[in-house]
Amino acid sequence: MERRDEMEKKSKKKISRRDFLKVAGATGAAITLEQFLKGPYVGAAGKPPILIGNIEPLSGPYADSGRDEFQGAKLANDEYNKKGGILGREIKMISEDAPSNPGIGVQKAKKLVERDKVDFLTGTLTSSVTIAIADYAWNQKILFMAFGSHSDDTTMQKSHRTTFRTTIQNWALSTACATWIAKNWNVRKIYHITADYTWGHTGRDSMNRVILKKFGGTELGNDFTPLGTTDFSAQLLKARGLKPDCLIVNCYGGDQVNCVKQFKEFGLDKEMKLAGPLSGTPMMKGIGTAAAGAWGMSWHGTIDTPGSKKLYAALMKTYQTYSEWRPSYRHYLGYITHTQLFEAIKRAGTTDMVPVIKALEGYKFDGLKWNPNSWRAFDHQNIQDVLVGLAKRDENWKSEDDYFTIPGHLKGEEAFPTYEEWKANGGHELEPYDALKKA
Amino acid sequence: MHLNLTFSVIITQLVNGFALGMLFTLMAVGLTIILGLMRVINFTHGILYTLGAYTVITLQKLLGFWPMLAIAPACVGLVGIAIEASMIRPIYKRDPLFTLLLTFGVALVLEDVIRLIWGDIPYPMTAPQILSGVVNIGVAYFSKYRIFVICFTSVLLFGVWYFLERSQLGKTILAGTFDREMVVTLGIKIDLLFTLVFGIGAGLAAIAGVLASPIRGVFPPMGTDIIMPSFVVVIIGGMGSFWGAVIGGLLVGIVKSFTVEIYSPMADVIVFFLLAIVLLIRPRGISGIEGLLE
Amino acid sequence: MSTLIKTIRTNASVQLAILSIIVLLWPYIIPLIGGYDGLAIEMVIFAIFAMGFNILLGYTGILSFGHAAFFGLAGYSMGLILIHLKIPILLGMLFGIVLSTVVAILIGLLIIRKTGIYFAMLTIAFGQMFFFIASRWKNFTGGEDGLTGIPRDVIGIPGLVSIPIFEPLQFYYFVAVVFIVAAIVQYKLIQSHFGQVLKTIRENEVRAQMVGYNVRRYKLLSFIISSIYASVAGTLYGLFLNYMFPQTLDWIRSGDVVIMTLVGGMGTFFGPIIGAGVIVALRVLVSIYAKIGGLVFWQLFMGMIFLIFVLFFPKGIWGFFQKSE
Repeated sequence: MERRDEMEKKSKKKISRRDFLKVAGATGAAITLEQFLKGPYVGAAGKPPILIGNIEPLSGPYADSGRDEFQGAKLANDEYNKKGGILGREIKMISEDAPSNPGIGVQKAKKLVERDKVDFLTGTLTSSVTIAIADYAWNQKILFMAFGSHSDDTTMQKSHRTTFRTTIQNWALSTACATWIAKNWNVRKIYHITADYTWGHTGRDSMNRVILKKFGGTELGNDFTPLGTTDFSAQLLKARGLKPDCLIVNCYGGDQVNCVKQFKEFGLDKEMKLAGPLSGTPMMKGIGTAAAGAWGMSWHGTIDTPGSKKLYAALMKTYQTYSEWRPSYRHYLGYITHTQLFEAIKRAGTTDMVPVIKALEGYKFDGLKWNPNSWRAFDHQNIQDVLVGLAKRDENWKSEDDYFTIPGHLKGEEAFPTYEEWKANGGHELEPYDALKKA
Repeated sequence: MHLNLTFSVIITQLVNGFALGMLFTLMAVGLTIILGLMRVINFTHGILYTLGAYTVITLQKLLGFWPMLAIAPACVGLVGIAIEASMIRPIYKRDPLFTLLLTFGVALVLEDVIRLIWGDIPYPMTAPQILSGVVNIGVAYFSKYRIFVICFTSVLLFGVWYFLERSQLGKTILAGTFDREMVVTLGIKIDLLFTLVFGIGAGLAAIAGVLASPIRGVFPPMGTDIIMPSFVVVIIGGMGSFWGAVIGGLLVGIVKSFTVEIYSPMADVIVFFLLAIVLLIRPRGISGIEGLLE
Repeated sequence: MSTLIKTIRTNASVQLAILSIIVLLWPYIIPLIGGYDGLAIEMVIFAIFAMGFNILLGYTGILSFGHAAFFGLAGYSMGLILIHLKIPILLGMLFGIVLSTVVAILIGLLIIRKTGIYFAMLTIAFGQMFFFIASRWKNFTGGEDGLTGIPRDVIGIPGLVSIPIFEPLQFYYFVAVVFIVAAIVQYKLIQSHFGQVLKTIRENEVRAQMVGYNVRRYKLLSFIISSIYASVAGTLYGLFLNYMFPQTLDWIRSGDVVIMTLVGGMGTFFGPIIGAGVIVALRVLVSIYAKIGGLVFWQLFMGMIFLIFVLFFPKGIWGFFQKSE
């Protein structure tokens, strides 16, 4: 009896160990096979494809914006691939999710660079992720086209020879907005609610620069609010007491949504105007009927230039999922950036970083707006028309285009900082070309 | 720093603090009776709060705002009961660590489920017309809606208190927080009691979510802002104590509102400083129930 | 063959030796399953974190949901001192670890009297406090943007020895050496009288007290030792990314290490190490494949995997395989 038990025990043991090895072996084989199939890419006519690593938030509060950026980029990729790719090579994009956590962003960047061996990095949205990846890209000597972050420091304090930025920097957004409200609403007395991080601070500084210095106005007061503030009642009621012409909301995302909603809740919309450096469809969706304010913007679906209309039609055709869906400026940013990257590769005749950088610097092109865009050489910032959007939500609302009307825009040269202003505000000179050789 | 506190500012912030505190109290009362009776740290409380808000925006068009004050907690209460019965109940016998881990995992999953169903973008949520606008008493303005929150919650909390202190069932629950074994030996089906209590807690969290949504907007991670201060309120008030949760909630709400006024970067951290002070002076919390979980 | 297996299963030195060999060869093994150096580094760093955390959770039976605070605190303080003063990296690491441990001692003294759920909630509260300090104190910590520019060039003693750790592979071996040392130290601890007392406390705290052990002191020591491991891991992480950011401190990150310990196998030596590797890899994989409609739902999948373990495999991966033998 006992021996039988022993034998059963032994065989049981053997089986389970064997099973374990079987399972482990099978898993290992499956994964290795997958890697083989993924393999080194082979494009048209045996040439390796051009690999682009696109990092966007695809989860978390900015996921919709991240997806729009990805879609815009993908549209550009597909257009070029239809024409045979670039330099005879297919364009392949590997997309990674980095919600606002910058550690994950850098981790994904490392994966794209070390494992997937991408040729270029593009994307990102939040400034913290952008800065972290820009630093990493500089260390690794790989080109990074940042097209989601509006924070000034990406092309000022934290600029690098390896970073190019398409998004309109906060300085320019605020300048355009401030100029418009000063001229059209006669705003001279302002009160700020400012999100307490670099983006918020620079927004307020730029607004002040225009309204106070250029138009002789006054700042009646300012409140710094931590990121993630949900309750603005204290600040709003303080503003009411001081009776400004306009309340400036230097906040984005959820903060902006709550601030504007509460602006209406406390009835301040009847007493003063509202404005801010930046807004967009995602915020207006959350604000709903409380929609108000004049905001800076990079692009809107209603722009009446032939190039813009063409892009609009293509985006609608490819991505429309429900009847009120409309393209957002994030689509524009992704599309323009990738298109320009490909054109620069064409001009340089190679994907090597230094010639591509040189091909971008100083280049002027049709940015689908009224005046041409250009890649400025000393800071790698994309200079372009800055729009002003008036937010509204009324009975005539039919589609997401109706969140804003575009009453005006400011030319890039007038909105963006000059070299002197750039230098005086912490502009970090781009590293010399020889520093681009890998250590 | 703004130390210029006029009378007007003080009253305004008191009212705001009260309204905020009411939300914390609603959350904390649920958390504290679940904690006291079931020894469960319910991480899903934030998600139940969020679900309350999402229920409203989904059904509001059909049913209007006012019925939602009853329907939302009922729906979410059912969800809570489902979670408790299916996942938490089977592991009571195990180390309480596992229930904590379980509620943590469920919260993670449910947040993404909410994202799947409703998307990431914040939904607008406006209070009904009667409640919007301000009340102007000359020296200060108050948001009508926040006054409503204070009134409604006070009535609700009175109802909860009455239930706990005066009804047979309520008294059993309270007794259970002090001495679980005795309640069992009295022949009361402890399992059903747990389920009921969890459902009540879920309902309260849902109402907090409904009430908060016109002020704070509706978006998937909305629960994370409120759950941490609510846990702190539970500790400050004394675990298992109804009045502790009430007083703690109001205290934290008012302190937070004033901190926002005086020096807003500290607003999130102040809650923890308050916790540290309470721990040093009165470790059992305001209500100081002895022997509970020590 | 079975005697070989038996030796492996019983002889600790052999087990540790095999572990060390695997760890040293890991950068060459991992590409075969689609990994890369950065992933390997991250796995080992979190293995150190989880290993230390296991001392508190698995062996002493105390749950802390705020250990990420020590991870982050060490990383930040090392980062700050390396950025502002040009001192050797090892010194900077030591500074970070010591500072974080001192804070751990202070917090530990304050809260060790509490037990169970109360204790866990207090650790969450303290963890969150540090998280908010890190994300709000912009001028000092860089706030939401984080602390950029943490240098990582060489380690060593100035004038005597200088080992480059700039390249991922070089840095990996530095991390691997730290890991092996940490593993050996932990093993000795667990096997010692100290470890036995911890296990006794886990089983029945009252009984341990009655037998005459100063339970509070042992619990405090366990808390401090686990925080030292967290601090070491934190400094390595800061060096790895050349960057430190507030989310390293929040309670979700603390939750990560709890998940790693549980999934790997609580209270076992190898469990958390495996758990760390698995969770780090899963995070990356899930983020690639858990896409629905173009958006990523990694919380859904990670959460479900975690729930499956909590409900059905509470002993974790290592515990599961131990059982079937």
